[in-house]
Amino acid sequence: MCPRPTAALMTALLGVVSAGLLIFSQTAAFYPDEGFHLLAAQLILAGKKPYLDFFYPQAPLYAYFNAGWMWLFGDTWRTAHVFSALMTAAGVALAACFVFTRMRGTRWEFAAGAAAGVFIGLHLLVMRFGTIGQPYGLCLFLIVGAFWLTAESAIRPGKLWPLGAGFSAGAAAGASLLSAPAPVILLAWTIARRRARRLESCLLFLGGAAAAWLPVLWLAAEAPRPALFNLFQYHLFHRRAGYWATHNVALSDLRVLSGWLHSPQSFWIFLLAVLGLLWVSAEREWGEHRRSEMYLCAFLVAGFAAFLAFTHPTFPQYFVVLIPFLGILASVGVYAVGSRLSPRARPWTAPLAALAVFLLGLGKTAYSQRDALQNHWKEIEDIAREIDRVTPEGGKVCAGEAILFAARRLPVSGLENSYSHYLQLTPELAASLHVAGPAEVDKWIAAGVFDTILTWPPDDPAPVRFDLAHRYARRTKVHNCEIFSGKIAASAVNSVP
Amino acid sequence: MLLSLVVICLTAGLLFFSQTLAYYGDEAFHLLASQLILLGKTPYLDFFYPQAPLYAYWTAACMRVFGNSWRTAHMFSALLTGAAIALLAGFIRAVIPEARWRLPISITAVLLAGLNLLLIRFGTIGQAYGLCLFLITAAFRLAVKAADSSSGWLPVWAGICAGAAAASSLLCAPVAPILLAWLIWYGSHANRLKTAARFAGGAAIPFLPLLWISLGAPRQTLFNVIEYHLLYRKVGYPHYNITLADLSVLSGWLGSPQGLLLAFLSGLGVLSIAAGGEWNEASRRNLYLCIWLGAGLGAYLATPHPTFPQYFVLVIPFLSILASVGVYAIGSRICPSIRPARLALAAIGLFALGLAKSAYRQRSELHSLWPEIEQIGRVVDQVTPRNGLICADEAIYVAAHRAPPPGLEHSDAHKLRLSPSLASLLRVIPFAERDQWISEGRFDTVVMWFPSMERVNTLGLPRLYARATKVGDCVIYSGRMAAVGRLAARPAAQDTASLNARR
Repeated sequence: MCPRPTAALMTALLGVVSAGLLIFSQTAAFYPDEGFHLLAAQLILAGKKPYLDFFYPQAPLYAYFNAGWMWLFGDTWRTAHVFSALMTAAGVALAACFVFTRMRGTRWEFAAGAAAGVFIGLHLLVMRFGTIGQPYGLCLFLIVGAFWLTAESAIRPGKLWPLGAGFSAGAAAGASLLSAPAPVILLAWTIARRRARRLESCLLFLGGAAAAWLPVLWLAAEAPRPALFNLFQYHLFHRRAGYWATHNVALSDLRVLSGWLHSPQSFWIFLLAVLGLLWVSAEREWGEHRRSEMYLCAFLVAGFAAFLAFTHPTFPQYFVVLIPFLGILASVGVYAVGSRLSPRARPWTAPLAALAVFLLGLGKTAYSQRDALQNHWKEIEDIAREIDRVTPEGGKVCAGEAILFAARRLPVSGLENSYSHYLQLTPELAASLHVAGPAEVDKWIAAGVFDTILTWPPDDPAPVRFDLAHRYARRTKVHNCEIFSGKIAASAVNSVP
Repeated sequence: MLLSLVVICLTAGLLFFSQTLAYYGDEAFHLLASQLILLGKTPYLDFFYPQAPLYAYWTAACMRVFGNSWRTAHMFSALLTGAAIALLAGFIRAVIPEARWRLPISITAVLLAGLNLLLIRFGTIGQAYGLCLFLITAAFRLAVKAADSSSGWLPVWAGICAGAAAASSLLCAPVAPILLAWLIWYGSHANRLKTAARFAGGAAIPFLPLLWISLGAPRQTLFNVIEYHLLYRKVGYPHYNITLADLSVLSGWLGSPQGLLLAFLSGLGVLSIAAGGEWNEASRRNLYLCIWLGAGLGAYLATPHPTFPQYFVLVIPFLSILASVGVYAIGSRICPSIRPARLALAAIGLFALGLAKSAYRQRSELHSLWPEIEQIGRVVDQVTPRNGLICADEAIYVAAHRAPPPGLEHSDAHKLRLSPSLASLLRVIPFAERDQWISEGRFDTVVMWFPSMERVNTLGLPRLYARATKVGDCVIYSGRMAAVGRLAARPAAQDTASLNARR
């Protein structure tokens, strides 16, 4: 046994993967939907509350974590990306160290641990979505943490293990509802595995999970109807509003659900994970506990996959939460191949071959998605700077969430989430949820509520429809958008021939 | 029994596909070459044909017996592909050491080959892939037998098959040298050099027709078989980054569920073979030949510039064998408690899922244009005088059973930039000359796909022809108004008459 050199190598490798994720987060990471998450965090910083003061159809913990982070380090997309990248890196490190510790005493501890680290940390889905201003990074860290704590709680006597596991799993679900199966599966496994003090462990787990949900419960207590709508009703009944109302959601879901077959990285780790699972099912060399940990990984993969398949519409990025557990099983698969099929070869040959194919897959996928790997924050910041320059202090801006966030301008109530415009709600419910329909926004534009209006020519009908050129003194073009500012008083507008 | 049933069902499926959905644009010039051979013409000497000639002769023979149509060519390709699958099934059955695994692994090998979309698409069309798949698999089986046998004829037959594969398509060129090297390296009896010599002799036999043609037309043969592929393959893609396209093809297996699964299982198979264990000496040696053939063909097929995904169809039989060995390795070493049938079903199920996904992705390409082409061919035949000259694509000549005027046998040839003397020797005419012939009204009928008004007017077609008939996506100009000129090549007209007479 020589744990030191391998531990140092492992640390170095995880350091490189983390640095890679951090660099990626500051250069190529971008996704349009991150705007409303970042804006929510900014609104929280401004003293507003989700559900109560603005529409936010998400579990709120990520926005609170993010607001806390922004309060410390500044409210820019860069700090949010750093936060996500660090959380993702921590999740990757936890998963890799989990494999490393489970292989301790064999020649394979570094090889298998490194394989897990690379399979998870350099999976393009993790790189793209674990480094942006959305909850994926935080969820990755929390669910892997919850998994490890649950596994430890089954063999360690302390009360903190199940409590911590429950808290992590609950916090993951409180950060994003996509993580909701984690506490359920982990609790079920705890019930099945733990023989001594089973009830106590389960109660501690549930207590931890409930503690993580206290902010959510507090918000729900203050505004039960909006909280119910934002957390559940929207996802059950209103997810298909807007774009999806006119598109074949089932076909799109089918495409997403079979997408892993055409993703070299996902299919590759799936194949290795199946191999790992087959080996675990047949192998008696590993103790029962270690085998049951691997089964827990498989349950998490299956549970998450089944749950995420039923969000209608579903999206590829949702499945990022499966990757840590697939990565762990895949590293066991690499171990199985190396130790059973080529036992005389050095322990790094099988992982190297597996990683080579995986990295080729990364190259291939990154090349095919090269258009999506473009960070638009630079352009958004340019636009926001111009908006900030032309809009008076306290002036009202009509723009998308990302631009409002970058310009540090609080939106008019109802403009915090552009998806909300598509909802068909009764006027009372819309008012209680702070939702403004497209007709209402049009009315505001027509009434000259906004000091600055951002439009996207040539498809945007607003400039012609509302005659913005005559109603605003300035028209500035920045990148692909036009900014109308310098509102002319209504009487002056009427005097224009 | 069950294995035979699976092979028969697969072959029936391939036959059905060959008659309904199988189509590829480039198959037409192969079929036209066969039709021209039926007319007594000789490739290279009488028309441009930058391919090894045996497939065209084989198809011509089939067409003579079973009818001059794309259906005949497709049917024989499908049957030969089915035969190749049957051959690999026999091999894998013999090589698996444990009796309870033999049937499931043999069925796995058969289905990993037969359900491969690349093989389904390209092993069933009027190109050399079906014949080559059969010949290289047969050569492999015969070489394996020859290595253990003292029979003098087995290596000769192995050589004939390997040579015939290379003489049908140059894509199979590495098979014969690999088999020869393997026979020398691993031949288990004392006369290994004699066996190798017999193999080499056998391999030379299928090249005799080529040799015979080259004696009559050495320059043309050299150009069509070698020079074109070394220096002129890129002419069709002047505005295209071929290196990038090649890279995309070479990494295509990563993005294909079937390709990646085959690579994964083959990798496991190779590791298991290299580790030894349950394999006896003879099985290991034979499986090494599979690895050599898979790796050698794969490396060779990566070198054409540009290369295409369908070239790699030739690797599939060997990868399927290795992949099924990989499935066996999972069952025997990684998870010995699993039932063989269950593991085989899981592997086949995943592979079939990959087939469905890839087929859905390529659904726009899984569509035969032959019914439309036949319709066009019928109209062309109706509107063109008996000895009339036609300007059209190869597929329409095939469907209309009309011989093209000399120089129009191969549309890619128009893109070549050659000296006038060499072009004339090779029967190649450039685009500009063909267009000039059209504007001069030399053709009785001109068929144009998706014609733009600008091009139609530039060529003066409305002025030259009385009728413009639209069929599908093409317009047929016929009823030449004034006999401005006649193409010098009268024999073409006689050929047309002759072809008509044969119908």
